[in-house]
Amino acid sequence: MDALKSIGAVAASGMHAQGERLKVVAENVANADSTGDSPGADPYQRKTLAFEELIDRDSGASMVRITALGRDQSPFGRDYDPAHPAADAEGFVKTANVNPLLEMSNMREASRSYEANLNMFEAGRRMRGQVLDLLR
Amino acid sequence: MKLSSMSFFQLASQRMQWLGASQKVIAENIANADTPGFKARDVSSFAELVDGARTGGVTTTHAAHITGGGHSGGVRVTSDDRAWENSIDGNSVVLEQQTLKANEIGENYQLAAQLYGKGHQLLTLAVVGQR
Repeated sequence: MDALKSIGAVAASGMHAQGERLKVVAENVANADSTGDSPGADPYQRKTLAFEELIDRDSGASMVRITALGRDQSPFGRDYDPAHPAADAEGFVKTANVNPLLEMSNMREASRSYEANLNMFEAGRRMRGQVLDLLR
Repeated sequence: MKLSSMSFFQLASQRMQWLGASQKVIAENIANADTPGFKARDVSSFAELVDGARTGGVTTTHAAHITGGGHSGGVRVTSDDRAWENSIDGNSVVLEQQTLKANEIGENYQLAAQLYGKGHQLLTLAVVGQR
């Protein structure tokens, strides 16, 4: 596979990875207030993911892939709400360890990186187009 | 008549080959902009590609001669030691810097492609007498 072709594949792998990251952010934000449903039960545990370099066998290009989809092990929050179904004997409810501020900045970074990959895809497409124009 | 043996077309196509390889490396850098421990990469200079193709190691005048181990004019991928900064996870890719390079390469590619096309037009002009 020549360089111009693999530009598209590399950019697409980047877009896929950033898209997945954005999905995880959306899941975390959506579940920011999810608690357990029985007394003392654990609430939603924030999801995390990491990126890793992946060498494509066909082209030798270094792409990116997602590795280590995991859960954030940081401690849960505690709210005093004795009327809540998940409240323990002392009246405390465990809340999800999601920090909206962190998720927002994560989202911003993911969408910017997605955009950068998209621009790269477009640049590769334009270069291929210029080669094809030589045939005219 | 081989177009690639005319130095003009050879140079233009080498330039396009080099720019394509550079753009691929930029795409890899951008895709891995958030990969922990990833170091930004760059390619060897265009001058190196042209010189390597010209000298090509040792010139041979007989079929039995050994061609020598000189590099055959390929594009080498090197680590980019001019990256602007290092983030805390050991990643040295700066999106702004890479975007800047990608634009520059895109413009140069257009220039090389248009030059190649111009060369064709000149040949057509010489053969047909009209464009």
